[in-house]
Amino acid sequence: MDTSALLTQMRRGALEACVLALLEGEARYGFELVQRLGQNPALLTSEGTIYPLLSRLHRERLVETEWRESPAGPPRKYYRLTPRGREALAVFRQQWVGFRDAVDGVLGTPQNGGDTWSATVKPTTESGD
Amino acid sequence: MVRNGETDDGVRRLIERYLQEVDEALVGVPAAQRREILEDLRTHIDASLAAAGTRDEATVRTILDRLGSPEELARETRERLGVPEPIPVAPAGPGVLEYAAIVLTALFWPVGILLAWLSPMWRTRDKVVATLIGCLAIVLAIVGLMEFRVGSATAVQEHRQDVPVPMERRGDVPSNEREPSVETTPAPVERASESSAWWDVPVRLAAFVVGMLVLFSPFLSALYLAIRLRRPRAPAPRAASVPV
Repeated sequence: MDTSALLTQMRRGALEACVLALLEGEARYGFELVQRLGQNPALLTSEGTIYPLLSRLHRERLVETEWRESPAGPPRKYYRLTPRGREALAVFRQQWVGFRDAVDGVLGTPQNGGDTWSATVKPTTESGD
Repeated sequence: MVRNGETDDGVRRLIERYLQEVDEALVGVPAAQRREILEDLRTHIDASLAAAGTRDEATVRTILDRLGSPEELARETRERLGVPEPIPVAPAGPGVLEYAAIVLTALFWPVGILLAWLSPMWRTRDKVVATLIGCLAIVLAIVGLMEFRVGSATAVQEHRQDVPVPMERRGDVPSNEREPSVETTPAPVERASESSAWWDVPVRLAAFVVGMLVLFSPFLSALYLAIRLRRPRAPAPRAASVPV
């Protein structure tokens, strides 16, 4: 299996949670989210793919949108977490820890012990370009 | 921000072509979501350009490259929104339905345009335009007809006013209203025919033009459909490569 296809598969579920987590503290607009996530190529390779994801999160009422004027340029669409989104994020965190530990245990990869899930994902990917 | 007209034009064309390709790749995705994603991408491009501070072609290409290929965006969108992959047989090229739609639009507009709406080989925008071309002619015809009627009615009224009162009714009219000088002078009649001619020429001309439009609008509609028919696209060579 080639690395990019594998990453695509793994990313799909995780990216959704990462977006929810980024919106946890404050409302952000799309471009801002892309800039945050784009810092790590393991999370977001094709920046445009965040918009279908945001569209779905919106449709599922995990986030809500609001147009705000920007200091320069056109108005921006801000995304904010809804109570449902908060709940979904909590569930993901809970599941993620168990999932990660289980996979690490089977693969024999070092476990990232402790409660560091709130930190950003470790930049340990060599698969980027 | 440097605003070189020519460069700006090229840049805009580059962006529009990219968005159009994404739009086409998103076939099967519900229209509302498709529109939303395209809007978001456009906003993203604008924000990226503003952040970059320049609008040269290389910058735009980099931005579009980072957004991802239209195929990849479409794949991701389908995956996220749970839309099944499009059946690759359908958009192979125009078939019987499309040609029937074009021919019938010219010959029997309502049925033809209905067939066009059923076909996936036209973009929704093109279907709307083709329909409007036909509808506009109908509206024009109705307006024209009403104008014509009003026009001829007033002409007739004027005519009636100027025509001398018929002999047998003349006795009924009270004598104080009957001016002897008006009685049988031919001048009013002449004026009446003059005024009806003044009305008739533009009204008939307008009716003729409207009639021609109505007559030809199905052809215009069909011609437009024929021009805007989607040609089968050559298989995209970059579809196989997945950017990392």
